[in-house]
Amino acid sequence: MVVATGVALSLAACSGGSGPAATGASGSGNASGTVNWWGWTPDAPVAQKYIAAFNKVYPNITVKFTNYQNADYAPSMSTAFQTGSGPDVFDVSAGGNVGGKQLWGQYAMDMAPVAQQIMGTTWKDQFATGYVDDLTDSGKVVALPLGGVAADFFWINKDLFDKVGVSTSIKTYSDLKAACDKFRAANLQCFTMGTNSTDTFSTELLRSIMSSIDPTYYMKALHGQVSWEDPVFTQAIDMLRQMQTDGIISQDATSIKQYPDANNNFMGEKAAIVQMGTWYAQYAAKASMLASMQGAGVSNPVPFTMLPMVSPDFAGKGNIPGYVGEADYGLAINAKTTNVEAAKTFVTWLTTTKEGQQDVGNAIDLVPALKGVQADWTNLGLVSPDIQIPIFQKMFTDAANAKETRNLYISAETGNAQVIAVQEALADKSKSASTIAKEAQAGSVPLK
Amino acid sequence: MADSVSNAPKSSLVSHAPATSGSGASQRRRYRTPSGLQWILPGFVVSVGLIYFCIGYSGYISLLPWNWRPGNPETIQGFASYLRAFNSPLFWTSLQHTLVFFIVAYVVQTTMGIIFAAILHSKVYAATLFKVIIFLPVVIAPAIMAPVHRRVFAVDGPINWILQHLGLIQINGLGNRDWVGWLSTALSHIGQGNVTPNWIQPSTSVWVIIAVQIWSSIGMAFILFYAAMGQIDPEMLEAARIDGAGNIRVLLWVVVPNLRPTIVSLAILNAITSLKLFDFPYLITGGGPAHSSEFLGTYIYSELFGVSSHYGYAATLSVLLLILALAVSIIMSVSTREGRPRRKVKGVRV
Repeated sequence: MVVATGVALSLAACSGGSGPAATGASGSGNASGTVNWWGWTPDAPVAQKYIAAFNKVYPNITVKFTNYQNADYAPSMSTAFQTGSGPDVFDVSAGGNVGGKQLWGQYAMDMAPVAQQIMGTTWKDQFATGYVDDLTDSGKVVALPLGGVAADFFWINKDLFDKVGVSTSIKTYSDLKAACDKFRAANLQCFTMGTNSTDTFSTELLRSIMSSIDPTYYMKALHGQVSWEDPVFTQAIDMLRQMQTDGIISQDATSIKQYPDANNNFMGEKAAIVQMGTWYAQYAAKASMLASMQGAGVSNPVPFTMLPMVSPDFAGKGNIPGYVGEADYGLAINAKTTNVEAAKTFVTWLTTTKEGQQDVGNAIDLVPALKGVQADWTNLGLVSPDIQIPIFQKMFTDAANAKETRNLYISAETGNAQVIAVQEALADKSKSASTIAKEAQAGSVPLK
Repeated sequence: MADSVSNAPKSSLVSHAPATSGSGASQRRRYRTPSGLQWILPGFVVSVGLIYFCIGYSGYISLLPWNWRPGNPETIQGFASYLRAFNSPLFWTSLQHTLVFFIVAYVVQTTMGIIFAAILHSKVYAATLFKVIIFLPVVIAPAIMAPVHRRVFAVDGPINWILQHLGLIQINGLGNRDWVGWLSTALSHIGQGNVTPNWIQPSTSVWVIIAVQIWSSIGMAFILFYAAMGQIDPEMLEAARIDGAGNIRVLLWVVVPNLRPTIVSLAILNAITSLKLFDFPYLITGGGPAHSSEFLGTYIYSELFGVSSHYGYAATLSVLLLILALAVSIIMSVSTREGRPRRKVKGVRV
């Protein structure tokens, strides 16, 4: 281990105003070569769609996408950059402990001049409000936003709800508990979640609960204005445990991961509810759903109707947790890439052109970053378009107008502390809520 | 010590072949040049240039405040990271897990390895098949078996299925698995009332790792003991039989003492395995939940390659691991030294 550490570190020591473009991208028009793109998102099939559309316009540029599991992205990037072998293009998110700009922004070139060159002086205003700022670190635009994301809500399998006779209108904790009782009676898992990982998916339920207790608390705590030892946090921990006691959170939550386990439970129709964000809409289209169901182990999959569901009022105080969102991720260009023109061409085509952004919108993985671009809803191949389209349109509108950010102000330390808090709440009953809160406070570092 | 040096055979690296041609200087040079130097040179360069350089470099990094953002901080902060490690409950927890892992895995492997070897030295039907079955886990990569073990120990996995059908687990009204009444009461009496049949939880996750490691390495212990038993003089066994010793007595008082070198070797192998343990904890539990199955290897990994990138601190932990490994090796070497008769001279053991 000491040698491995030494190898990694010693190698590190040795390494030294116009509207959006309709068709063009930055970079040389005759750029060619291979662009290596690394990311934890999108899923490989979605990325291949993007690349195929790009290659129709720029056939001389080959883009190779490598998709990492969330927990593997940081180790891979860290090693690659320190050994001088990083990708040409890579994902950067607004914050968080996977692809946060504070982690990887230093390796990226400033994209502001690139964007200005192609979009003019008003280039920032052409993106959704705040998205460029979300991806700006210490005055440098480290990535151009591909699209936005929102979370802190749930997805339901409407077919299972109908089959078991459960109303999709779940507004209170009691409604949720009653629904779970019915699913359990039908030998189905109600709500699936996985906490056995360093990724922060599981913390979003905790955040939803906190927001239902006090809508202003979470952001204040994130900024260090109030402590994580505040009663709101301990009440949320207690409520999380109550959800487990009431059978809403299943017993396996501490031993499985959100991806792939909880995702497979939902896509395999073993569970009726899962907490995911806007990115999950991509599986609502028949083709991607079939692939996901097969990936979840379903041998003869039949697509089902999935719908977003707003968080219930967990605390019964009349506070319904709203969407939290921001620029999900952007594409950054390695400051040391040897294929700058090809990388610029790819990144700017996907992020700044209407064609590229239309493809992003049609994947319904992201809220398009460019203003005025919307998914071509009628041609997406949704399972139940009549039901889903109006709901999805509202979801994406609400996502774009989210009042709170999702990961922007979460430092890696705070994200980790929240993950540990959730794991301890569900798996370690010997620790009191106040002890967990104390540890969370000690492990958190507010971002400046 | 001086005698032993003077009486020791000459190094095989020194050539004793007389020079047959060339000038006197070249003859002397040839005489002094270790034979085969050119053959060991690549390995020597790699060892010194890579391994020892990296160890030294890690030591240097461990003194730097190289945390959070990668870069090349030049200010040496001294031993702050070492103090941080010694003050970190997680460091001591990892060490504790390593110690428990070593003791339990070693005792079980040794005991079961000897039992399996003894049984299969008897005339057992389909002995070859049993040997293959016992040894097979040794050759299967952890990355292949980890997902299987995650499934085996899942809440609705085979272990709980068996326990349920043995009448030890019941499914309660919420669909959760729980111990049956008397077992739940018994666990409460020993202060383990929080333990549920969910094996990946803080109170049991480290035991899952130990169980999996034992399963995967018991075949190696078996093979070592099986080979060692084959070296025991049959006349010794016959003599014991003639003296009236039964199977158990022969095993305990004749066979086991003859296995001492193997038992010692296994202890060293287990100590090394314990200190560098990484694959199963990382793949099965990820060191969790809530660091409950963290070992030094996974702790270093999470600090070095994890989301926080604490390079200096990870290097510190690596150096501490190296020191531990050296200390264990020295202690074991000294405590198991053989061959020299021990006698006391004026109260001093020589």
